[in-house]
Amino acid sequence: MYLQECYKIFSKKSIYLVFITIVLLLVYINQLPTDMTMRELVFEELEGTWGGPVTEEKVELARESMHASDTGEISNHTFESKATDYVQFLIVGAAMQKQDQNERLTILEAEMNDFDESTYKHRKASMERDMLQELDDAHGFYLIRSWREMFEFIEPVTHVLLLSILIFLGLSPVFAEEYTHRTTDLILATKHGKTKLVTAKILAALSYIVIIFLSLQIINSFLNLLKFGGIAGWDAPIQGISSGLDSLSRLSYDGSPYNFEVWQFFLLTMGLQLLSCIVIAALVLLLSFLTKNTMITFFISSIIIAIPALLQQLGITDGFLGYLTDFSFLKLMQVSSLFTQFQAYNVFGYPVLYPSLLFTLFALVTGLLIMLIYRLFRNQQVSH
Amino acid sequence: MLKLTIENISKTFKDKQAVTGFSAELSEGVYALLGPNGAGKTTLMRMLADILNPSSGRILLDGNDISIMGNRYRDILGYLPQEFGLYRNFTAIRFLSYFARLKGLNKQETTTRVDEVLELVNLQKDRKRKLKTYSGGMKRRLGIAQALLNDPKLLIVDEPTAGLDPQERVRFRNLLSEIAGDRIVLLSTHIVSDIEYIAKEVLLMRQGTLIQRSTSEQLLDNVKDKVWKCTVEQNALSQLQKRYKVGNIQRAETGIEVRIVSDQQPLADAVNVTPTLEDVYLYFFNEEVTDDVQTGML
Repeated sequence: MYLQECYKIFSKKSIYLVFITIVLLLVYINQLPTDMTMRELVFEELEGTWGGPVTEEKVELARESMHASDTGEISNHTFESKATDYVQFLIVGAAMQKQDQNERLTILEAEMNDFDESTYKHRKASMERDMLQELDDAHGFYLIRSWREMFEFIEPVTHVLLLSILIFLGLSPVFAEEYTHRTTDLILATKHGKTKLVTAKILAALSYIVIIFLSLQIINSFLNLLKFGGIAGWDAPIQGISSGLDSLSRLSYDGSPYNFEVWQFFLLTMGLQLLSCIVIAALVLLLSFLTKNTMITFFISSIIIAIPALLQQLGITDGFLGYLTDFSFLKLMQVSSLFTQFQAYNVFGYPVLYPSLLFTLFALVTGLLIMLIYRLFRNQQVSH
Repeated sequence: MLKLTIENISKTFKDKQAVTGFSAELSEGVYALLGPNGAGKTTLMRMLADILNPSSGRILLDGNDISIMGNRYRDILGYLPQEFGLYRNFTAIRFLSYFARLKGLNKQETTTRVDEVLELVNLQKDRKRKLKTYSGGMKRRLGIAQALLNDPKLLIVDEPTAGLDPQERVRFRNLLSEIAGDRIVLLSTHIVSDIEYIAKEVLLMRQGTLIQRSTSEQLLDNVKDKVWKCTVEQNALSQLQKRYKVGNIQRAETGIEVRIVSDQQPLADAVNVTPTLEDVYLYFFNEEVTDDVQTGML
């Protein structure tokens, strides 16, 4: 039964057409010329000099060198000099981030003194302080190749768009087509047609999600490894990933309070992105059952994903609508964006980190959606 | 001995009463459900197939409520709806294997049973063809095959022979006769000839209610001495149709030969003839026999 449900999903030509188009898009974007990548050997030499956590000596040296470059004392026309300028720029940036972090720690200490231990504000400040203290000497220059492009496809919005299209395309027909094909009468009158079939459909949908997600990730990672020349920086702190010259992604983790090494963060984001796809899948499956129409499912799912983006574009982010945006399917899919800064919510007087709360809520939502699918499918009546 | 008890079931859709207080007890054998369009046959069959809940009343199998039995009931059920679709990209083997698993057959049983039912409905040669290339009749036969996959003790078939050619119709009729021995078969049809020789009993339904339940012979007794045959001029035919229930009309050398169901002799030269179930249909439902009925005469 499971295999036949997989066959129903995977026998759709449109999926392969869109998948190939996405891969071609990734290849096209990947081969676009960039001014500079850390693939060049010169960066390995620069890492020897500037690599590791930022220190006062490095910052002083970088400032002097940048000043000399600005006044024309040092030539900045060669590739090497441009690369050196870039690294020095990163060093100074890292120093500023470290300074910001220290200032933030002072503010947090003050907040903790101002408020009683039992208050939410105290708890929140304490949580952020502990996270920042754990970071220690995370800021600095690290030779990080490939990774920054591997957290999402191209950039966060395109990433959501591409994954959504594939999910909607593959899963919108799962229940809807039983109605358009008029097979529900036959199915519901069978022994397992009211329960096990739903399990088989959900498992097939999961398999589809896992396969397309992993396939795209593998292709994307492979393309980036080719372009950026390796996995150097796998053990660097994520604060070493800033929006640099060699990246299309505007995401920057230099202000992130999360204490992850790059490889840990990669695995975490992959896992969470996969989970977010599963959450979206549950939504699409329910809509597929409720609307009984593939196109309407596709349309409504798109609206649900797009509305928060629209609200953001219109600048409507206050009050309830702000919460609606923060806890939307869109935000859930933009996993890598969740870890760029400290954000916590008050849950019964205790601070809960935004990513934890978001995924906990959507785990509950997914459970509810799946329960609804089982219940509604089992109790449906055929009266057309 | 298997016993299906229908206890005063009714079904209402918004403001429409589709089935009203239908009660019957069925044991092993073939039962035919006969009635005009809109009589509630399909609604009744859906309730019996456990895909539509009655508004009131209950259905019992050997004393157990089928709504409580759930998949235990559907395990012994074979159902062919009047209208159904197929997966266009599936082959017949894939389609039947899928339904075999839905019906709880294991891998080995599936392989054996799929071959058997394909043989029964004469589709072995086309078993690897995609269903989008199947004709209407072939699709119908595949529908019958899926209903038989789990060797059901209770077989409910709604208009099973619609769209089948005469040869396939005979084949299906014989098949039902063969398998009916130790199971309950309930079939609804417009095609009276489908049931004339195989039905143990005929249930006549009109406007959602059971109006009569008897054997074919008893039904024929109802219209004994009420079926007439005569030959009339073309211009007298329309007048005759207004006054009487006119069945079969046939052009003959001397005029038009008509079959009339009437308590009194309609014309002086009308002669009494042996009734058929088609006459019974006409007598009870006051409807001209449909095209299906006429094409169903074999």
